[in-house]
Amino acid sequence: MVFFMVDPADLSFLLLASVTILSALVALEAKELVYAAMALAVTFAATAGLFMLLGAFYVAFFQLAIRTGAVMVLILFVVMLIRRGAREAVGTRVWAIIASIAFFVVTAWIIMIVGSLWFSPQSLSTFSVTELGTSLLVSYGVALVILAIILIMAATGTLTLIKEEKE
Amino acid sequence: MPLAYYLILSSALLGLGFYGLIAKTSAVRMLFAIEILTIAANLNLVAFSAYMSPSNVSGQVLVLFSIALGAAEAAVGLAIIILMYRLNKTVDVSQLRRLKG
Repeated sequence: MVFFMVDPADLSFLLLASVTILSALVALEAKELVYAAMALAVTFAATAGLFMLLGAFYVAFFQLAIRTGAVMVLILFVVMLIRRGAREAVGTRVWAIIASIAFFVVTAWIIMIVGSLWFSPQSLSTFSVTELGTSLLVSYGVALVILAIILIMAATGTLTLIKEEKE
Repeated sequence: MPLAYYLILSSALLGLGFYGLIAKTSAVRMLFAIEILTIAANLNLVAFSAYMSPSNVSGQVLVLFSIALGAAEAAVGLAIIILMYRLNKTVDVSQLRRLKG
């Protein structure tokens, strides 16, 4: 049987992919907003696993630390602050489902056609933190500084937005 | 394991994100959908960089930038949601008609 010769990498890919899709679906469809947020955390973690499978360990670590950690804490805080009971309209839902499934079918079709040109690599290379950090600071130093400015602007803008105005 | 598997998973996530953006009217759900779209884009970037140019680190650096930008985007989006809730007592975007002409 074919099942006995399944590559462990293939098996873990299938597991992680199904966890990603299912938890993303739960994140969009769960009735309770807190459950949806937890499902989104599962999606982030499963994506980090996929990054590891692709050999990008440092990116996977960042995904776990920033997305699953910091962003999820922010989202949970906001979900706690917002009173629940915001019912959701179901008007355009059927059309949305049809449109997104059509999108997925068309893109998957194109990928299947074009994808026959791409073969699996000889070996996935993993980069050390030193290599990545050197490239980040030497080749992309300007972009890093611009990113820092953007982050500061985002933090300042957030504080300005939610500041209570005293009348 | 061909590259096409990762791309198909990425396009499935993209379809899910589009569905969430179209069908949901709660601002928090729309933010979740945007996060799922970001996941799809990042996955695409990492897969392409791992398969197409395995000796080049640029793709992973780009994903690091993308993750940091995603954090900034989530912070600003959540601040807007809090402001929306404080001003209108709802996070349903179909109820926000103050700017409607």
